[in-house]
Amino acid sequence: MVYVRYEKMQQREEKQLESALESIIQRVNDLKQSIASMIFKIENEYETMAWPTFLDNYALISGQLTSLSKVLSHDKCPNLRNLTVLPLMLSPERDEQLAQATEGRVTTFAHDLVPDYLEPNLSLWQRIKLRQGKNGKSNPRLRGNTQQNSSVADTHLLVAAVGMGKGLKMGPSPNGQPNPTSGGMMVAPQGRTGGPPGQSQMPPSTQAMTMNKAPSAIKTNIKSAAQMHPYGR
Amino acid sequence: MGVTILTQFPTENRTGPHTIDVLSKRIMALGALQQGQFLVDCETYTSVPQLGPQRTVHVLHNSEQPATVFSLLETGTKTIPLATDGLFDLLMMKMSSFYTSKKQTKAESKGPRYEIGDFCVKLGTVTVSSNFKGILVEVEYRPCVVPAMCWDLLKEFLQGFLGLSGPTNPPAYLQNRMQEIYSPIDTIHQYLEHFTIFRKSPGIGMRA
Amino acid sequence: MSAPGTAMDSLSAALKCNIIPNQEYLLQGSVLDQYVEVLLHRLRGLCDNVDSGPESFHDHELCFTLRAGSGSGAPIVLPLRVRRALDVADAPFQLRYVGQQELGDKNRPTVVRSSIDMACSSTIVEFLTELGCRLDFEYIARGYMFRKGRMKITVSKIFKVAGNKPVETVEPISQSYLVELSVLAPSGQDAIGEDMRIFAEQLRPLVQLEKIDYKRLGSMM
Repeated sequence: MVYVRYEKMQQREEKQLESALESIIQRVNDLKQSIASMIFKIENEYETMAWPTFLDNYALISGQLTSLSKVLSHDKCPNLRNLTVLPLMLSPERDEQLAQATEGRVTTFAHDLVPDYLEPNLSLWQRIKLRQGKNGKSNPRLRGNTQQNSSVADTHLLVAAVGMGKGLKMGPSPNGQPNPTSGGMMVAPQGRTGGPPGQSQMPPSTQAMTMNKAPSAIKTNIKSAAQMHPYGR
Repeated sequence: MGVTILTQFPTENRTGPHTIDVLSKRIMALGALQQGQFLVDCETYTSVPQLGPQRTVHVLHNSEQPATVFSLLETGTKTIPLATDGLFDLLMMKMSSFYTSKKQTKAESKGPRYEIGDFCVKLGTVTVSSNFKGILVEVEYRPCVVPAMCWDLLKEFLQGFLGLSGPTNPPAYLQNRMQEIYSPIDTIHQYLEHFTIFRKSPGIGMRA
Repeated sequence: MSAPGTAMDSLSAALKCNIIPNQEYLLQGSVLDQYVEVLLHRLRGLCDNVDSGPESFHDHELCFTLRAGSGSGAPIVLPLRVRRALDVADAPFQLRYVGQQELGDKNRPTVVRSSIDMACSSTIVEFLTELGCRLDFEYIARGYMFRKGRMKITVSKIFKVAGNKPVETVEPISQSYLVELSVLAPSGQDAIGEDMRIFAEQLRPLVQLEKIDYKRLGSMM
């Protein structure tokens, strides 16, 4: 009785595997066709193609990849990792059947094409090094591209500078003529937009204000400016 | 915009509308055609004490330049002009904590607008906070933009239909600017000059 | 023959009908100097006016504040910005009021803040100074502007103004370009945010356009 049940289970598993493989092969074929048509478009329509149309192709391929991964992760799909691929014959020569099946793209099922199935006998570390490539850099696709083209720190620096003058603020103008009639710290540009240098301290600037003003006016300005200066140093 | 002269016309013992009527008849007798109406208004804002010495901002609109808002900032020692898009009024609303307006000083000049040859004549009834204050006549000579070159012509034209009430000298504002190129802000300055006088004068008592 | 309505009347009417563009929807990001050409190329393909190319600008922006003590608590502050073109003579200046970022829906894809934008005469700087404003900071922005429908995209290099002459002796404040995507529209048109988010997706991974609250950055940095 046990043997019969086991056989039935095996049959069911085999059927599952078959249908799963069919489904996977179908999806992979669709994907292959989309990629082929996109390559065709790039090669023949590059002069007239618009970027959004180009992106649509990517969207299609992305959708197909998603459905493929759905099939692979489905309950009904057996864990393909647990199955082994058993070579029936080893030969370095060109395989005509394979060539025909792949439209001439693959002529030998060799280990450089499918390293996972036909790996040379390497230790764990050697395998890791192989994956990382000759120059020891980790695969950028694994790392993610976000930091390569834009820096988050720079973004924050720029936004803060433009939004509230972080790093751009300056002290009172040493060359501006403070208008005695206007209270507080004024930057009065003389016919052009004022641009006083960096972060000048308070004392030197008030000394510079001695130009054409009566002493009492200066004192008033120093007092009111000191009250209103927000960056009390 | 060509050189423009503003001048008050005394009402004597007539009402406002009657005076306008009299002047309209005169100008139409000369061959003028009415082309709509015009409106120039002025709202005045003063700075809050926390901002220091008092400053005044006059915001004026002229229907002749409908997309512009003119502002004149008076600090006591100088006047700074500014011309901006219509949204400046929205900005003044945002500044209400700093500059407040006294509604009682809102001044307006409005009335019919006539075209006769190269001249444009506007007969304005001036009201301050809806109280009638007088008649203000605006005449523009469109082909010319230098006051010195057309003052005599304008004087002759004005005296032609205003009689002895016509001006004999250029407006005070233009006297130092006779050789400069005229622009719309100069008309605004003249309106402010007259509105200031009208605001100080007692009401004539006869409603417009 | 009816008298013309006052300017204030038409402004009030326009406000009521909600046709005044007084709200800015904004996304910001940056791109490193060495990748800016790639970004410009991609933007050129995505945006309007593919043939004529992007518009370049070289502007000087001055940031003023009008402050008054309110007696009881914190002073009331009104920020105002003036922007003028350094590369085009006689171009009108631009006056701008930008309000606080609207706090609210965390799910909103963009920054939303009130913004009143207008062209003005060159007397604006003296006007603001005499009005009681003080110059808080200034900078030079140089870069390119693109448009797509009502979206505006700017890619700008920001420079610190050093010395008395704003045009000469400027130093960049970072090794990146600031990228901003914005729309100026009447309030309440939140669907714009979604359009902007979708457009921003097309610029990834070159530049990550996000909503950034610069006030929070101030306390962090």
